[in-house]
Amino acid sequence: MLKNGLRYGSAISLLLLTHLSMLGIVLVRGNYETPMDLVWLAVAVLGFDLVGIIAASIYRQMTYTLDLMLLAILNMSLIFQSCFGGVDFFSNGLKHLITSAAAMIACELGFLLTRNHEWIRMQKKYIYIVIGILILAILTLTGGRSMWITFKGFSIQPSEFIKPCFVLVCAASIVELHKKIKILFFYVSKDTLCLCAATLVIFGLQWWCRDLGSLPTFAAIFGCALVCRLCYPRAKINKTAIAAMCVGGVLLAMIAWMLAPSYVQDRLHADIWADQYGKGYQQCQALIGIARGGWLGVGPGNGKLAGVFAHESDIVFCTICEEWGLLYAGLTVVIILIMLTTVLMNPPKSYYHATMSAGVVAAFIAQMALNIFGSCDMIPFTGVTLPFISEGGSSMVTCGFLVGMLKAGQSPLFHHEVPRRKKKPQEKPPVRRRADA
Amino acid sequence: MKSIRRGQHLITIMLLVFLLMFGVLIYRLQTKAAFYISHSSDMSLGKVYDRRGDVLFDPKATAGTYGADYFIDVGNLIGDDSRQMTNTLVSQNRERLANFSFMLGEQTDGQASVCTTLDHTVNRRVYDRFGWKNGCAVAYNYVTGEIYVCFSKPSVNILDHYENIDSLEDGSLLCKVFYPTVPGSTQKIATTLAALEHMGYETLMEKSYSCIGGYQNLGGEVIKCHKDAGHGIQDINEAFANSCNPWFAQLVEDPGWKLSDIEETYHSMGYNINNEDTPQTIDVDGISAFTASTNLTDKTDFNTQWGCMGQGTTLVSPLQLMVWQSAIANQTGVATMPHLIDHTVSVSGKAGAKATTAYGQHRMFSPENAAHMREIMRYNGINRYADLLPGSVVAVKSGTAQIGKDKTENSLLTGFVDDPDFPVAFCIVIENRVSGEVTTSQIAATMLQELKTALDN
Amino acid sequence: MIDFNELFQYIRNLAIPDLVLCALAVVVLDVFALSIILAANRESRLCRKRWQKVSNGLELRFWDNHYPLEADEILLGRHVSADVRLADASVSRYHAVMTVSAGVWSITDLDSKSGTYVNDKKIKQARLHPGDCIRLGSVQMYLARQSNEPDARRTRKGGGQRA
Repeated sequence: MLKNGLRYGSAISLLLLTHLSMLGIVLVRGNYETPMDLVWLAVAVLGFDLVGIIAASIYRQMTYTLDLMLLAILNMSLIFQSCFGGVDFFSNGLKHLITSAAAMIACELGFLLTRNHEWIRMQKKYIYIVIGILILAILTLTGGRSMWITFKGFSIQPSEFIKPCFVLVCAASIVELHKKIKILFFYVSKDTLCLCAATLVIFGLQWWCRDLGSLPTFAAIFGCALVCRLCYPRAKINKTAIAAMCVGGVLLAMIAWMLAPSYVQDRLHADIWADQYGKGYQQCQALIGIARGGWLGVGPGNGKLAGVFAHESDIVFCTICEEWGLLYAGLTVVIILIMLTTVLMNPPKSYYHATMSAGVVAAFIAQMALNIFGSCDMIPFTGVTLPFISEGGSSMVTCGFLVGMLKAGQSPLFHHEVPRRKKKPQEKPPVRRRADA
Repeated sequence: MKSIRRGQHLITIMLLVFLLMFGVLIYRLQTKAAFYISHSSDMSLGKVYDRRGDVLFDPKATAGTYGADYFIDVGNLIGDDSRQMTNTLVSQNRERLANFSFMLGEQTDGQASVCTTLDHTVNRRVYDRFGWKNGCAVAYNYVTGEIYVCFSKPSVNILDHYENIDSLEDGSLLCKVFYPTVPGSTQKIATTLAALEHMGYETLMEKSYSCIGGYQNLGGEVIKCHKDAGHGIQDINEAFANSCNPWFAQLVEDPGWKLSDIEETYHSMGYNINNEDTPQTIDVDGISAFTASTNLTDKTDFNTQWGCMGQGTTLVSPLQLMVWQSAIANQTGVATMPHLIDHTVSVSGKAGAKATTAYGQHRMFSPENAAHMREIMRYNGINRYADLLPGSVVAVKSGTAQIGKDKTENSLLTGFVDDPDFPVAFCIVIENRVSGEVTTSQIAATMLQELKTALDN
Repeated sequence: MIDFNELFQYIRNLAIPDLVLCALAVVVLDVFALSIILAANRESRLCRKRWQKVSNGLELRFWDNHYPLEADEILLGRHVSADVRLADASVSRYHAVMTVSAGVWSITDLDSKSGTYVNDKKIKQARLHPGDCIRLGSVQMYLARQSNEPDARRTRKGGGQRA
């Protein structure tokens, strides 16, 4: 059915079976008023599965596992979200279904835009322009030190869209490092300067908007690019430069710590249980919820965390743990990790895609760690979303786009760029432009 | 090629670090789930029992099932799950009482429970013996650390569900055994121990001062004796038994030792002197108990001398007074730490290990001086309190503490039974006692006799 | 007409133990994850075949060292971070780079001191063909079709054949 010649029958069957088994749990253990609540949910989930599979079969690409996994995760997320506080698809799930569909479209868009690494590398200046426009939008349209643009009841978080753009400029800057100019005592490339400037502007913006939760995600992407830069053979970095970068990083971290608002510093050593009904309320309730759920959960819709603020976004992992159990919530996280692991099974063939994939994985890992470990009081609570699971259109679309970029690394399109020389007689006939066709 | 592989390694490291942290998270959740759930406001809790299986706390208790004032004596010690009182056994042990397992979640019919060392019957009888007087009493086995009796009056009836909270007497919601009180002359135990430690037994025995009903100290102020006619010339045994303030004032002023000597012994006994130290607490299965504090400035200063006799700003908790007795009675100088929980039972009904005896972290005074102190207290017991427990010597020290501006007097009695078969130390406080009312020795007699009968059975 | 209410109530009344239900769902999810991993593995093989087409199935050889060309950009040089490391003093640290496009490999000299030669002709940039002899300083290599012989040793170690 899918256009790469491989059979996906068992994977698709199991995908449907996974969602059916979840619906079975909702049927038996769920908290719903009328059977129609469940019927609508089932129709939405299975319908989305069907549409997703048909859509995947339209596009010709080398790999489809990421599409299937994205579909699986999005629908699992749809079931989770629809059940919070009682099964009600129209109240809890409809918006999530729409954003999930947007994420699927964004995934395909991300794939199409980035699968040809030479082409996307050429578009670097336009990506910088997009980042600039997004930053300007945040500065002018959010109406204050905020990251949200509210328009007729809809809220958009443009800083989310900066993430894939940032990954792309990080990857693009990596491969053009050999063109260096001397500034003072250092040989630096123009790309490195541009990237560092963009990074500083983005960090400054996050700081100004008090959206410090996203800072670690950008830092992880930049850090990954930096490490890839060190690994990149043509990046002639000497030991002095590495030491200077380490010292610079430590200094930056120290300055950031000193300048951090007191509420941020407090979070690093706050005892949530000492202020269970004050500042630590969300986290305490989240942990109590996980404990209440145990390994098997209290059943979909039976959780009490649904009454806590941000149960569907910032502490969504705990809400799932409470209703579905730590076992199932943990496996959901494992499914996301397997999605990221496909990069290892099918490695990219170009430095650009390799760096881009590492950046995407870094973004996902950082965000998952911040959300899960933050809500469970292992690290400071930052209030970022859990990829694919948390409610929120901007986050979902961005995640979809990032998965598209991962897919591009596995199913790339190599540009036809042959040196213009006279062909030798023993040369093979010209290879098709679309080698994956 | 090589760089792509390095990129792959980077991804592998990130995934592994995340997985490792996720593993740690699962371990934390698994091991700390009972702690988390204990903070839930609607958690199902198990029962608390005394050493004979009498119920001391039942979340489903009603006046109909147990009797209207069945829990009155342990109301502010055992407490309940309403979170009105925080320093109680139930509040501090919700994790152990939670009917919960991470595998199966909350179980309303679980068997989680806590079995204490208390004897509810004796506790209640001694409580009733106070009559209309307020105060507190505590008794424990100075060898094993098991608390047999512990209550504080006025108490709160948890079956009233705090509907009458506005009309409750002051202090009803806390067990005074764990809170500071002016120790009165029971402080002379600590002062005598300090003298033993720094002067030596022989020197102290040779000390004799005269009491003519009062003593003008080197600072020019007069310390009066409770006996207007005075006690005449006494040695330590007589002065200790007579609780003679002028004698002890002269002892404090004695040129044979320095104020720092007294401070050293006080420090090792747990005193926070002049509020310069970090306040210490005694942990009784999560219940936090005050130790002791005083102000010492100059040996010739009236307030310092007054403090060494247990008045003024000196404060000690009744529990601490009782715990010191264990170091004396055992003749080790090391305290036997008290505990209330004998063992716990899990949600599945599996009994946990029995509590083991714990000892103080350091030696407070030398075993020899503990033995000498024991003799001094025995002397007092044999001569003044021979009828407390027929057949046994009860070494004791009484005290009268002046409280507040109106100088109402609290009566205290602390000591231990010098009997290896009945090793019980105790402390009793009767608040605002006036002549003719029930005495601490009468309550001690009731407590010890009832306890002996109960433990023999 | 199916009465949903009755049907649902009937299923709920079956009182299937939570443990059984959850275990079933977990097993299904696990098997799904496994099938995805297997599918990814199959895709990986497919992608390798495709890469063979893109890269023309070539490898670099000197002595018995075989370097499969697994990326669209291969750096040749003395530096430890080079994809093909040639531990010879005559080779610059970043000597030359090979790139592929549509099955055709080309080599570009990176301003090396001793120069890059293809079939003994000094070049700045040149297309490569199977059988071409590439010389970097005094190290000589051949571009050849990938060998499927079992004793063919693939290596990443430095070395080379002196010209």
